[in-house]
Amino acid sequence: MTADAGRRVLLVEDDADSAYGLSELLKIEGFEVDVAASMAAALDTLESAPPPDVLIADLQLPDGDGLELLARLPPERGFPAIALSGFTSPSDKASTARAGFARHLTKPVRVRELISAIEEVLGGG
Amino acid sequence: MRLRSHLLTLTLGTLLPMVILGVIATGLIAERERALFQRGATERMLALLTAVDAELSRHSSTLQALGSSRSFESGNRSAFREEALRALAIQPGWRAINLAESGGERIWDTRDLPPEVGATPVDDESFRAAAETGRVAIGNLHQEDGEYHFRVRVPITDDANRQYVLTARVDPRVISDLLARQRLPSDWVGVVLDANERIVARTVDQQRTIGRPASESLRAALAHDDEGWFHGATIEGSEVYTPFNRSPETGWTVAMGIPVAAVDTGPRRMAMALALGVIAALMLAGLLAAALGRRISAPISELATAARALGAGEPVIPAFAGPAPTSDVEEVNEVARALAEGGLAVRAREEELRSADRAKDEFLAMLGHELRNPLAALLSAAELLEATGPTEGPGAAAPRIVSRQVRHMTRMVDDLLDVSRVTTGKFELSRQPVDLAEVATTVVDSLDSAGALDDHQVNLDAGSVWVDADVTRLEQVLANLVGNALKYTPAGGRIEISTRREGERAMLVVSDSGIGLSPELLPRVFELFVQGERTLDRTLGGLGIGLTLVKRLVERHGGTVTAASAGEGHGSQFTVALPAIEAPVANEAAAGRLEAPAPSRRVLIVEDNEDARQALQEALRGQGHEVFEAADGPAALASIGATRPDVAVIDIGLPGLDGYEVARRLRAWSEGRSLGLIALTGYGQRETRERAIDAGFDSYLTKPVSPRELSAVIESVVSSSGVRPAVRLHHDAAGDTP
Repeated sequence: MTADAGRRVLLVEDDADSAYGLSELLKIEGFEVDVAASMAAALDTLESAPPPDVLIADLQLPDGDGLELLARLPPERGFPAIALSGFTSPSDKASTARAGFARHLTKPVRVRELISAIEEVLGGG
Repeated sequence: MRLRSHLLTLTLGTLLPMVILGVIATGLIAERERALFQRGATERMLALLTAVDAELSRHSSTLQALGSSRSFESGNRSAFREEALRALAIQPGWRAINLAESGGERIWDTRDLPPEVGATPVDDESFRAAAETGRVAIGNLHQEDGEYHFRVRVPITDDANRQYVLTARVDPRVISDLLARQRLPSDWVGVVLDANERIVARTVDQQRTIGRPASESLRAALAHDDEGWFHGATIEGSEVYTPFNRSPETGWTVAMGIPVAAVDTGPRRMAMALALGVIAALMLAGLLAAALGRRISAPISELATAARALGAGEPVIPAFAGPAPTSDVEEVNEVARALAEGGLAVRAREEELRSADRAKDEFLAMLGHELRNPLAALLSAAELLEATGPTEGPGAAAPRIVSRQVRHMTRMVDDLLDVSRVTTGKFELSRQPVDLAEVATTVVDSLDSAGALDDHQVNLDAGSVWVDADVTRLEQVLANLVGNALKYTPAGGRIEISTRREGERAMLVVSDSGIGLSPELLPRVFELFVQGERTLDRTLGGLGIGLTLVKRLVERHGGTVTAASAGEGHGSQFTVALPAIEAPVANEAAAGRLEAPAPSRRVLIVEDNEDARQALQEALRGQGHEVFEAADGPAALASIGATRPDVAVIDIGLPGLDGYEVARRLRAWSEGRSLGLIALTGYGQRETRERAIDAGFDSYLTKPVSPRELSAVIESVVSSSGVRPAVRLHHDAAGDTP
């Protein structure tokens, strides 16, 4: 359907309902989706599986936050990251940008918005 | 009335009875003193009278003693005369003695005068009195040979029982000496008068006044009474008080002239002293009242200043916060302490309120955040259902309803966060010159394209007026005002939106024919969480923060917003006034483009993603364009002849025939040469841009694009192609297909 087919997404989201809905929608759009429910799980996945094309992370995680997750990864990690947060203030957005997120999306996000953000950060696809 | 005046009144009130009492007492004392003085002077005068009587009595007694001598009684006249001569020698005041028969014939005189038979004595009245009554008689003053004397006559009887009168001529100096011995004050005038009221002796000017009649006022008083006290004048004319008394024995009068001043000085001095005392007391009272008033009122004034400061939210003067008293008046200090305590309490309460407010803001932010997580899950699930669930049957609409309501809730959460941010001023405006008319058009169009205006007659009268504003925030203002009008206007009602310039102000007016505002609600309509009691559709209900947001946003832009309504059921009108600016001239092309709504164009959208195509179509229709769609390259190429678009907006990532190829093929046709071509893609690389231009695209846009941006690019592409007029082509159905 689109050039996104076959792209791998790592979705880090502790809320199982949210993770389920988004991952299923992304799968419908042709993405391959891994879900991690915590920072530790995300790091495990990144170690064991081949790196994703894009990382989508909730900011609030049970064992840390998205900013910390990004800080744990090497700068030359090779894939962009999108923050998905309930925090909407300009200062929150500025701190995610500083942490290395390419986009800051505000929950709730429509899948169309999410996909266009993915396409943007992938810069082509 | 100032405190000073109150104190003065109090003092005067207290002083007045004292003054009255003082005046009465002084009057009484003065009167008493005067009475005492009068009594004293009268007694002194009476003492003098007694002395004069005694003196005269002494002379008559001496004469009587002489008259009872043996020689006289036995009739030996020469021996008697010898005795009289001896008596004369030892009586210094006597000038002569004579003896006469009661008939008047002189028998002898110590001055060796020849006997005058039948001669009438000079002072016959006293002689007669002595001869006839047989009692001592004192004669009046008499002048003879330049000298004054008076006679003392005593009747005497010899053995033969013959009556005689023995007379002594007495020098008035015996009286004046007596007067001198009284040692009267020098300014007093003591006077002794004979029965004829002629002056016998006087303490002042004896030589010149002897023998003269007494002063007129004294004679007038004597004519009236034998004794008394009168206010009159001396023969010299000095004003005097005079006690006087006429001796019943001799008929002589003693009087004393006392200068008025001597009598009145005491009372006058007392009155003067009293007056001075009263004046001094009044002045002292005034000064004390002023000083005390200032002393009491100065701290009170400071307290008033402090209280005003407290009311104004400024710090209360710290001088009152300390434990040291600042006034002599304990009550004032009490007020000062209470005020200081009040100030501290107010400050504490303010701090509590601030922290409560902070807590509220934090709570709202947290609430917004926490609400977003379930909303996110809901939205994703709804979208998933939309994508995979039943497309027909009773449940088919449910996912869309859920998704729509989630978005509505999301908007409310956004509003909630916004109001918290806007009310605390925690947001920045990114201002730029913008045409209010354009903002209004954008908002109305997007509402229209969302179908929100379908049930109402909405009219937009967009007159160009530029303002320096944050476009997003202005859109928020408009969306809220129009949204409110829609919410409170029944279906079929009218909503008028207009923008125009009025002098230095840019006016935005949104009026409706809706349920209006009650007079009670009108003044509170911009307050947070205030809402009309009923909305027409509860599903459209909000949090009652829209108008608060509007007000804060407009105020942040330096403008004002007012609400007006003729009452419930008569619609309402909201007027926003912002400072107007001149249309920017530096960017004429942009200004021209933005001032007038972009001309309507025929636009072909070539996009395989249905949602994206739908969104673009709505956005462009919102901008007033005529829109045609194609889902892929072949469909686009096939429709060109029939639709004759001004511009084609082509997605690069089309399946099969991609965007570059579609552009190349269009350009290859004669109809496609003057067609405006805009590439639309998510690929932002330079390489892609170059490929697009190479393929024949006029312009290139990266997704997502805003409707305004797209509209502007469409206009610039059409204008620069320069071939096509902005005239709508009519369908020419047959024959145009290539």
